[in-house]
Amino acid sequence: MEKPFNIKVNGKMLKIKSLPSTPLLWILRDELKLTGTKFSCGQGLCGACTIHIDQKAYRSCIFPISALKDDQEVKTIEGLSAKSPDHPVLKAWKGIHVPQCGYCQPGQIMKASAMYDEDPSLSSEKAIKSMDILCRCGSYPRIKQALKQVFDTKDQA
Amino acid sequence: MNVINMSRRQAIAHLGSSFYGFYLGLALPPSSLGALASSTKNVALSPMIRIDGNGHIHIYLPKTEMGQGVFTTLAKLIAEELNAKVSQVSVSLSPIKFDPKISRQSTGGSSSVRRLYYPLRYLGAAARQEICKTAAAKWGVKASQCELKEGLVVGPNSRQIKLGELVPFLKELKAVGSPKLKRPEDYKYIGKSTPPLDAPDKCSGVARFGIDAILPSPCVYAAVEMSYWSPGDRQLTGISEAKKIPGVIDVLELENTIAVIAHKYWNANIALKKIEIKPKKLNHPSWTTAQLFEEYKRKASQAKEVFSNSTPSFDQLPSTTETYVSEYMAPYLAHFPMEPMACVIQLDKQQCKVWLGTQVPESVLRLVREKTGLPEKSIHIYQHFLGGSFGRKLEVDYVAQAIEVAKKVNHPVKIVWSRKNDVQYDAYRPASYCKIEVELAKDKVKSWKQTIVCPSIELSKNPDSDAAWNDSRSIHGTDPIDYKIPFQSTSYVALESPVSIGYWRAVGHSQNAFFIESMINQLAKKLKQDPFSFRYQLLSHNPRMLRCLKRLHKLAKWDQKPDNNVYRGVACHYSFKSYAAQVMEIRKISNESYLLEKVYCVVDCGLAVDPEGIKKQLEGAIIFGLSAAIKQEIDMENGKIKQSNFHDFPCLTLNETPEIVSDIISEHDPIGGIGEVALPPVAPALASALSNCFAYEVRRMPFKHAPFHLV
Repeated sequence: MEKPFNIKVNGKMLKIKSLPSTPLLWILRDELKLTGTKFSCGQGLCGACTIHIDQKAYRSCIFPISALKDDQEVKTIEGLSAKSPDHPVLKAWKGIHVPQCGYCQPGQIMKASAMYDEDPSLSSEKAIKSMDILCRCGSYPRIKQALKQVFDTKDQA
Repeated sequence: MNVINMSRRQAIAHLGSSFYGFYLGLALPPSSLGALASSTKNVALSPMIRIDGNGHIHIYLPKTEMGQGVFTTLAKLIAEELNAKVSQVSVSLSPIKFDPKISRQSTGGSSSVRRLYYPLRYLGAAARQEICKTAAAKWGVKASQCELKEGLVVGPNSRQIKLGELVPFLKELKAVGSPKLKRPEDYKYIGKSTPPLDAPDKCSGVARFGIDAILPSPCVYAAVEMSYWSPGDRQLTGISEAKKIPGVIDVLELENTIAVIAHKYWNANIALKKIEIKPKKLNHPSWTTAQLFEEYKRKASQAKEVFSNSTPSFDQLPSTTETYVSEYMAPYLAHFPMEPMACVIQLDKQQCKVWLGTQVPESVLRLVREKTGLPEKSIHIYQHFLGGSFGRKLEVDYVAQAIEVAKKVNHPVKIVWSRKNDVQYDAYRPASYCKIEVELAKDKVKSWKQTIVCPSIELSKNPDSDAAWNDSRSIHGTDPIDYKIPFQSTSYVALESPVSIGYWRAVGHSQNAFFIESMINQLAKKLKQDPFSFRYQLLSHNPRMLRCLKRLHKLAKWDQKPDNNVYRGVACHYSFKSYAAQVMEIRKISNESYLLEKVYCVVDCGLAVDPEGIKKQLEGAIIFGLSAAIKQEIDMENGKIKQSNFHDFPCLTLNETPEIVSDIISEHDPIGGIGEVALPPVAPALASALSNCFAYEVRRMPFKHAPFHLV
């Protein structure tokens, strides 16, 4: 049966009625029209759907809405771009022109920005090692370059 | 510059008529400008260039953007000739018009820049000329005394007028003619890297892909499962359980699709999982790639010669001292774009609207017209960015399916394929077998005969075509090969494919370069020659490839001994009018494992219009090629494709990706393609490095079957 849920997304409290098993991905895309979060594998394998839940990166295609606690906050690429347009990760991605087709890039950016927000002093080597979002266009060399810029030049934050 | 996703309807409202004059020898037909014609605030100099009262230039392009960067590269060709600032230009997709007499509006074959380079420049130059002429007439001076620069026309005696202020006086170009183009020393954009126009929106989640189309309510969703068996041959269970899921509206049983229609996509998915499709008869095909190859090998004896070339010196060559034979294999491959197939459609008796990403908007228009019987003016196609494609969205199967679903649904409907659907119902790169027989006369290659067995894409698309038995795509790159050899021939067996096949990045070159270049490397090794020197001898007729290799030799420091445990291989291949050469460096980790260290890539694409954009395409094609070379294949098990997602059709990860160092030779026309050209040399260069590392010849893709693996 469908059930009511209260969720906080990009700073706003919202009421949603859905099947408890509904992944956050589809709540964001279809109910809230936040289409920046992308569907690709549906099994948590590729990370194109990566979002922040309380500042940590999660794969929204396998995160059911019922698993979200009342006080947890969801942030999407739209929230990050609107609230932190000068985030070092966004600046690096735009400055280096990382995207090709661009489809996986919201996921890449959300993963990288979660790493940065958690520990801005992380080394770029460790950041690169943890970067596990798949891309078919082969934007990886530019992603590495962007991560180096973000994590090797700490003073820009 | 900024990018606008514009619907056909919106664009037509701006433009009035077709832009197809552009394709017809550049003679623009008189266009009825509709609402625009009566406006003093806008002028359409051509259906591809509109200028508004603020002097802002709107460019409408006939090519779609799927990551290859053409929006930026093509727009800047027009901006170059108009001496425009980047901030003065907006780019949109042009309207689609179906006319069977005119070539298709499609994006593919690494052709956008090489085919449109001059047409777009001439168009921009003609527009510049018209603007100068208009200002000159206003001032009573000669057009040659006027110059357009960054939105300002400057004339003699310090006269000047803003481009926007000229709009009421500008007239549509009747013909492009042959206006004077800018001189290379005055280029502002050509040959220089321009920040991609779509990057900011793609970084902020604003860019809309096909799957992102948002419909007015009430809109419904469809989750689909395709059926290998037609309605008479299949049995469905679980439909009543599916209908019990909240929000489910209907379950549609179509010819080859079961579709659950629901108010929410997830609910439709949950319901779809309750339904099982079973064949009535337990008679379904199974094959592995290995079994296919055995069959292909048997069929090789039926090959017909489709190409041969003999030089006069052939008969005078010393007699053959040895014959060297090698067999190679490449599997079926899925395209696997990050964005699965998706289509949004609204169909009623009066009209049909379709929102999607496609490489062939015109084929979509034709399909909708055929399947709905609606006139063209009632069909509206809204094109979005493509979340990758690599040839997949040249197919319109997902649109045909969407139309069938829409015919049975009273609301606008959004259809999104699961990743499993995407992998299992692709139009695959066909599997291929190749035998190469080489006659050696001492240390010289005397003859080269290759036999290719491969399902024919031509045959699958046009079963009645006479050309099918000689499918040029199956023998891409082999007629002739890049090397000068006294006698060479290609024989071919065109097979029918048990699965749908199509155009995968680099098409036939993607496997044929592996076959040819692997043989070249094996021959060099057999003759104890350096693989570069060996190639130089065979390339005296091919100065551009020779130059690529020499540049690569230096770039990769081939004359220096690599570090301990680092092994190298080289390959080169000509495709899509461009030359590519690569050195692959791997590091041996153990007797069974290696990692990818570095790739050096040199490309000669004639003229590099946007060097950074090109480098991204080279990196992309190399990484795409590495995924295929090492990891990917498609098998059939009990009537279904076995692979279903990233776990069993894996892609290279960021941490597996080697450093890529590329160099572009950019000199002069003709311009070559770039989106596919760096892919063909990847597999043979890696195979050679692996052979040098593990003393094992890899003759079958993917290399995961060899007794060593990537770490």
